[in-house]
Amino acid sequence: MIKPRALKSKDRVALIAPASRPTKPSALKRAERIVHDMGFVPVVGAHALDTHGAMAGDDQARLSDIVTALEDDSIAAIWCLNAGYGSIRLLKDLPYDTFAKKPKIVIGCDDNSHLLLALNQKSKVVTFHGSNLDRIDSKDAFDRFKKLLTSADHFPAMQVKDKFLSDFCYSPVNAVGKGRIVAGNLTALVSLFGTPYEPDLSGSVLLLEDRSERNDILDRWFTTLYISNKLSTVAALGLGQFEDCSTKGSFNMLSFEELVADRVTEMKLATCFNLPFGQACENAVVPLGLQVSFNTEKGHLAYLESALS
Amino acid sequence: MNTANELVNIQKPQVLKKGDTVGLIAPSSPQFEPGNLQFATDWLTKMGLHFKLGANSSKSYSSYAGSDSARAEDFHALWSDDTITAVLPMRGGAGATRILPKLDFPLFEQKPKILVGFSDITALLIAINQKSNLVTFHGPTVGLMFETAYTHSHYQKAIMGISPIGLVADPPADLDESTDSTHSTLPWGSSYPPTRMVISAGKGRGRLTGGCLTLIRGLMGTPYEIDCDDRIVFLEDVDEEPHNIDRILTQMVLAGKFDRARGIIIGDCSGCKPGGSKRNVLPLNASLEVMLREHFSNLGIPVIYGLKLGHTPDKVTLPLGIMASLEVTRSSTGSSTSASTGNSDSFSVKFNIEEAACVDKTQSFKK
Repeated sequence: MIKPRALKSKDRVALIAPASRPTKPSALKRAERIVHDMGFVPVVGAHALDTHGAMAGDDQARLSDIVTALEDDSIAAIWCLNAGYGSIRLLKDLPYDTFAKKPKIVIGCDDNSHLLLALNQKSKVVTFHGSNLDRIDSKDAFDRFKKLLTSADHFPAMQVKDKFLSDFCYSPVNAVGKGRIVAGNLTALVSLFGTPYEPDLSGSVLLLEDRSERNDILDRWFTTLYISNKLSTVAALGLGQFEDCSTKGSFNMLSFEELVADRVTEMKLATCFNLPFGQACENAVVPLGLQVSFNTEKGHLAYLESALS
Repeated sequence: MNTANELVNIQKPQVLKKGDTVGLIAPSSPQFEPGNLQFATDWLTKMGLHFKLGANSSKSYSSYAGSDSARAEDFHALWSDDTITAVLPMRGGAGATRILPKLDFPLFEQKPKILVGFSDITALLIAINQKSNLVTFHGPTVGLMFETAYTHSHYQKAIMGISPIGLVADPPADLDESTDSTHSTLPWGSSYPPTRMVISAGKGRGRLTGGCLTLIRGLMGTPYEIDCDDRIVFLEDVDEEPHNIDRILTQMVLAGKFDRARGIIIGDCSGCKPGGSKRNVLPLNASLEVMLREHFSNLGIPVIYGLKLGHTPDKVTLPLGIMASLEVTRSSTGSSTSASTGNSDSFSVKFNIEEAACVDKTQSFKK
């Protein structure tokens, strides 16, 4: 796995919108300010505020912003401004070889998960699942993101935390799984199934999250993982934050936890819930492709190697 | 997965006749209320049919009609029953995909029967069509087969007839062969989309496959993934945001699903407009029509949008695995009663289901 270099003060960071555009001009200005205050130089994609339906410009415009940033040696990192929809439409034209030759930090989440998963799978470069810039809204997160992106040290271990019970973790199957970490948005991951960009899940430690979805829809995509016979090849499964996911007014639904647990229990797949993995900035930044050791009983995931060089 | 050649030997089920018995199952979600079942069974009685009910069909687990094992058990029990000609799901909803790994596909091949449904039932239709080499039917679940005369007449033609199904007409033309444009059954006013909006002209011929996009997506990358090679592919969904449909279509494009397709028929897709899902709404979202034109205008195969199939009260019954042709040609007359278009050009659209979907094995020497 190729590791990008850690950021230094005054490094240029491209801010792009591979999916939807920022909802308003202030969202873009605010993102620039955050990156600036971290000590980097923000470089906004030429088409970040374009419109093409819900997307930040047509495919050519959005592609041009990401390709420009990937090819430009003076750009040290790419940080996605926000999610929405549209990054999957760029996958067939991304310069995967260029990215392998010129690795750099690419960070984002939600719809941008398509990019992170495809770039990691095709270019064998570590990519970073972390809040899009529009979700950075605390001093704690600001400090933590800055520290993580500027150091070649091992990322700190991820630990399930309950607000009250410090050592509480719900784990339907207790075991330790070791493998290469694949982490992403459940909807995005399943959207890559059957395509040349589908991540290799065999032997992996798989982390999933999603947002604003109904339990039965989440179960549809989890079912796809299950019936594909790929879930049975996974070393361990971690369910992260399913922000704003619920029965959404349907009266007849069990929790997503139960719908997942009935199958992982039957499969004896090491699994735990409520990992600090998701889209909000209090969650961990997760580097895709690293070797990890995951103890589901304790809800503890440790990195066996560093993420950045 | 089947190739086009293997499909030449696809099995057609025995035609359903008056006096026959049908099996009613709930492979997805349960009936809303017991009273919903009564509507369906009253209609079956009117049609001269008897019925048997799956033993577990009134159970429930989350939004599913009982556990995966219970639902699969009912499916196998009724399919194994030699007195039953057709297995009719009572409702879609959610959950059919969950039972696929538990299904006995050789059983469906050994005892070919009629299976009809749509929406969530798509998972069963595609899996059984491909893995059991059997014609399956995308049409109303048993509780909806009497919603409109159009729906009912297509349903009967497909599963109770052994003549070629023929040209698919639009409602209400099917009910009224009169050419008198003042006839009272003609609809007045407009609705969107028109039933035959042309996305791309051309001619194509192939066996039918397709169904609800959400379900087709759920099968991608699994052993039950849809095979679109040499097929006329019909697609529909309901109450989804256009960008959610676009994500599925992009996935299918990336997977090469339309590279060797012979034609595409997009259904009415009711409620698939920006804000239609009441969840995941995106500002400035484009319409489904815009996205369809982006993906399908230049594939070199005929593509139409708006046919009544799936989640509309009017729905045609489409047999997966049966040979059909789609001809979209520029009309020289300048206007045509059989064509509606998305632009100022005028087209003639002919969608023909070339074969019968059922056989009558009780009549010897007739196939």
